[in-house]
Amino acid sequence: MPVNVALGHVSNAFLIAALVIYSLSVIAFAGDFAFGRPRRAAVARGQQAQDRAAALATVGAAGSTAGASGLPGAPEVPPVPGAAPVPGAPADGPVGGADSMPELAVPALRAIREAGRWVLAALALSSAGVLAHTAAVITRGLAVHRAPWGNMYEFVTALTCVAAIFFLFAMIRYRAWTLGVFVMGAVVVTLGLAETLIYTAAGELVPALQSYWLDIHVTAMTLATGIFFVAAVLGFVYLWVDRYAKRVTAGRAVPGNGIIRRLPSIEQIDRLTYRTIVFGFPVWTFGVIAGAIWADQAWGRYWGWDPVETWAFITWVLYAAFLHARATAGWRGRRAHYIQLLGFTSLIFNILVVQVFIAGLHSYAGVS
Amino acid sequence: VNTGVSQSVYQLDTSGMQRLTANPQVLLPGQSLKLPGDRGTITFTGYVPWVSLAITHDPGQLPALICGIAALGGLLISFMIRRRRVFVRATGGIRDRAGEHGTTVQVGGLARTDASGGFEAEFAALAAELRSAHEQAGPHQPPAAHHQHEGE
Repeated sequence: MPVNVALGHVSNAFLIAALVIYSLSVIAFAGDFAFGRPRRAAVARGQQAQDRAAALATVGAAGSTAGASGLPGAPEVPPVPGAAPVPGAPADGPVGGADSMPELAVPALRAIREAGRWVLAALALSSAGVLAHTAAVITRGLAVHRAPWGNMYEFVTALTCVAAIFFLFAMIRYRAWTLGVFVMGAVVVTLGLAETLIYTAAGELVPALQSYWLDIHVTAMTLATGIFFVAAVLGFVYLWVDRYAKRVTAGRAVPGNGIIRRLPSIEQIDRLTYRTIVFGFPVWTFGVIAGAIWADQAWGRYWGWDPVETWAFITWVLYAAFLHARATAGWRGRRAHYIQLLGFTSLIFNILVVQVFIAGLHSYAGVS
Repeated sequence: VNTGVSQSVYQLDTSGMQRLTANPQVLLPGQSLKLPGDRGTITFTGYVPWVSLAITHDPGQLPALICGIAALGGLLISFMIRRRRVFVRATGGIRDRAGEHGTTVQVGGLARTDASGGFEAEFAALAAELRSAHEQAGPHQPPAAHHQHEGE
């Protein structure tokens, strides 16, 4: 079937619209920092700190009477170590526990309304952008009669679409709209770069890719990359907040940074990153396995240390290392996030360098 | 060809060659084309259909597939199951400061995998539930809660 050129143009128009709407949403997210309601956040924090103190008082008092006896079979630990201040946590921030997301008690719609006009506008714009972006991806797929992630340009537009949809959902689910300016900003930059640097008109695929395994293997890789994209942005935010908290502790920075104060606590950012990667990691694993099965059908072996296969494996190992690091004393927090970002770097290296410049069986990028 | 330098079958190395101006012409097998400047003729003598085959036998394939699927399944299970233990111990016959006999209820918790957090809140809720159940049962002193939280 020939490529539907007109529909390809419709797709391009949708993508430009998405880019513009996303940019506006980033402005609205930034506007929330500048003109939004900081008071509500402060009130919520204060309330939360009070709750926390009350909980500590009761548990702590009980711990002092019963702590000495311990429990059979359980190793002796000081009472309530989980509630001890986490090193590097912001001095004014809440500490640990799932109750550090108290806003979850409020229904999402009400929480958004209470967050103020800027957040409402930003979320409405993000949603509209996601709709336009999704429409662009779908019309592109209809124009070329296949899954619209067959070359580098299509892959980037699809993965940013996944990232935007995933983050929109996570942002509303975990009331994390103050992180929107970072993630949506990264989406805008990536999409803009794709549009200007590697734009490829709607076209046929090379025969080697015309297989239903494209729908399975590349779809999984696109999904996982989009999710890891969000995790990487959150990782950078984590490192920034962590560095700031360290500088405050060392007396080299003034506490109460206007932006950081309004972000979720460092534990919440950490947990959101972890959940994001836990969601993406099995998808990546599945994608690698599906790729191996396709490789067996297409090239007669399921694993041949082709450069792209090798780098996909390295990425997998690094993300696995992140998951293990979070459960290893001395490696959680900052170091774990370095590993995570190293994993994303190897992923990007695989896409941008290995697939384009290194000769292998995976040279389908369509960038020249 | 026999100089030892490897060449692609699909690409002609044109360095050291000279481009001739001749009218391109479709040749059928057996037809020939005269080259300009008395450089001779080119004859299309015929072609042999061929196919390139790579035959492999890998008895490890099926085990690798099964293990891969099992690894993926185990991964999903390990992410979905949160291992945590809660101990409740009631000790009777302890004389408190007022000289009354009572029962001390101790609650302990141990989270084996709590990477995504939430165990502390869950434990606190459980302890609160125990306490309120106790308060409904009788007007005694509140049970003691001992929270033991170990890293993953």
